[in-house]
Amino acid sequence: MLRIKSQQNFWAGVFFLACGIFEATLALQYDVGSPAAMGPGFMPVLLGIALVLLGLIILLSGLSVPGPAIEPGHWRPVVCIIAALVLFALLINKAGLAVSTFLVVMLGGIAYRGKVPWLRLSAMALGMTIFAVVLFVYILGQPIAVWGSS
Amino acid sequence: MGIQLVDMLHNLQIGFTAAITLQNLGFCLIGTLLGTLIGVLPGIGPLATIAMLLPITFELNALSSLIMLAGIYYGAQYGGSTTAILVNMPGESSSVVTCLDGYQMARNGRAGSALAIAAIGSFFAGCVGILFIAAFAPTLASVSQRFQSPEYFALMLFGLVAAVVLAHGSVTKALAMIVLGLSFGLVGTDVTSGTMRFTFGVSELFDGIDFVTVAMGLFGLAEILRNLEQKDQARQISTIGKLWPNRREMQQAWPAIIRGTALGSILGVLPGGGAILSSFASYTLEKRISANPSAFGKGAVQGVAGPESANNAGAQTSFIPLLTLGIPSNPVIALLMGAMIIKGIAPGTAVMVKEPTLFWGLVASMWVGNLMLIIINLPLIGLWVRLLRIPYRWLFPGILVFCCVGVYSVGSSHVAVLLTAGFALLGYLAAKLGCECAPFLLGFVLGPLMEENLRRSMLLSDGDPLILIQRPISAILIAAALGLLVLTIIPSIRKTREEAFQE
Repeated sequence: MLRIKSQQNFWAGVFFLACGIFEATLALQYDVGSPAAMGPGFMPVLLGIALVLLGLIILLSGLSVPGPAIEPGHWRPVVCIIAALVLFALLINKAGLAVSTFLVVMLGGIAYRGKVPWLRLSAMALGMTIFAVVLFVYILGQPIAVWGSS
Repeated sequence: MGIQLVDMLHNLQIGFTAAITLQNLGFCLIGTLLGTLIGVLPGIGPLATIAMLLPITFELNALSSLIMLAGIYYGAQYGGSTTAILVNMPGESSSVVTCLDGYQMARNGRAGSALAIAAIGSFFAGCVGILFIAAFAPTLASVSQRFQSPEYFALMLFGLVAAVVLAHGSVTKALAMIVLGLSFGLVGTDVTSGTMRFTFGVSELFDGIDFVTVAMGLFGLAEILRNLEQKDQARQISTIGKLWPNRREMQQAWPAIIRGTALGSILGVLPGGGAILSSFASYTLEKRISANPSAFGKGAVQGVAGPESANNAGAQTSFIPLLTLGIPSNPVIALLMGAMIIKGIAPGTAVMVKEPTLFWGLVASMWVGNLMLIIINLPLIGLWVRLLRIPYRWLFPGILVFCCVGVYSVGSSHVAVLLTAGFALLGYLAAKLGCECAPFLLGFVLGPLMEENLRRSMLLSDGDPLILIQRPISAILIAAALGLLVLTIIPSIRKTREEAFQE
């Protein structure tokens, strides 16, 4: 049975391989053309094949050469930060800059591991909100609604 | 030679007239101050800052905005060394090597002279780097006028390969990241045929993925994710002590400053080079030629003077490929290229011919900026030290807000913010898998340019790929790229390369 000797390289290889297959198959639907008249599919197919080859090399090296393991991640920062971004994206048009900024800072604060200092965090979120509204909307004149349009 | 010198002086005069106006001096000051600030603060680099400020520069004229953005870039090199010396943390990636001997000097009670040597070296290197641009750029620009698509394609290929070889970590993974970046660069409408590629019917993707989105996700936000996984250590800040180096230290520092400046100026011009590579190379050189190599790592003056001069010289001269060939040599320069394109200026030879005030104004502003930086950094050092006491926990939510608003305001599009979240995850995943993101970004910027030039070359040669090696300039570039690649694969050289990066 094959043993994975480098978790990092093995999974990096798998990742690039998957990207390459995805890219090449999708690109084959576009017109590939000929070398003298390259179609829109030519370059992506080429790049997809390159990714597959590189992915295979990295994957095989992960099986044969010992290397570092993947450091365990912490779910809390990742989930909170990504959630903050998605929330901002969904709210900015409807609720406006003030509400979105406040929520982003709160979620960001929760992302930091350890006990959440709710009072100080809320105070900071409020301060950041006022700062962002003044800076972006009033000083820099960005066309962003403070309270949302509809 | 005499005529060239007169030309150069005349050009610099045009530049200084443009740079020394109240408005441009103001933006230069803002840029260098911001650069120092983010250089000092660990966990936020020039890439994220410039990406955040891009939308703000929409209102400004081209020269002012470039002066400010450039100031952030080289200002960060100064600020980064302060953190490296006082806290033993690289405030900025190019100051990693300064930690080694700078922090040891600080522990020996010589923090003040380490800071002063770093600042003096940087200033000297900055001045020389600028003269280097003024002397060298016109020559390079006249050579590049003979460039056609095959040459451009070969040059970009060489740049990408150089970026891989000089990056640390696995060569194959860096190559794969480049190819992935090139692929993401192709998203959007194909210019020649009008076909939508990889857009999945999302109208926001028809014009391609915005550069700010990628840079902010991969660098600004992914960095927050990585930082949050590490424990926030309490920072030990060394006391500064007397700010002036003594005579013996200056005697040791000067030769290293001059060597570092020369090395940095040359390496900065190479595509894929710039500040980070220059400082690593200079440290290795100083250690190798030193009569007393064992002093390195224990507070050797040369270990601070050389790399600090080299990174600033490299930061200045890395503008040369952008301004003469229209090719970014590193991710920060790629962002500046984005800023130029937004302003409707095509980077490349034409800048110097059509917009001499812009070109020489930017060059002159760099000298002014370097002068400002030495004032900002030395007498005001106490202020920056106080900033270092802000814990990360109260710092990053602010960065988060700036990223969100920055990305949103580029195209008033909430889809861009969602995409940024995606790139943040990609950057996080890449870090977990031991892959570097800088090659991805270079690939992303060069993707469309490379495709277009390859297409044109193939059209010229009627589909014969040999055209790339039948023309002298492109043949040399391709050979150089292959040579570099072969060199890194040969095990013995690979080993020394790894050692160099470990030091």
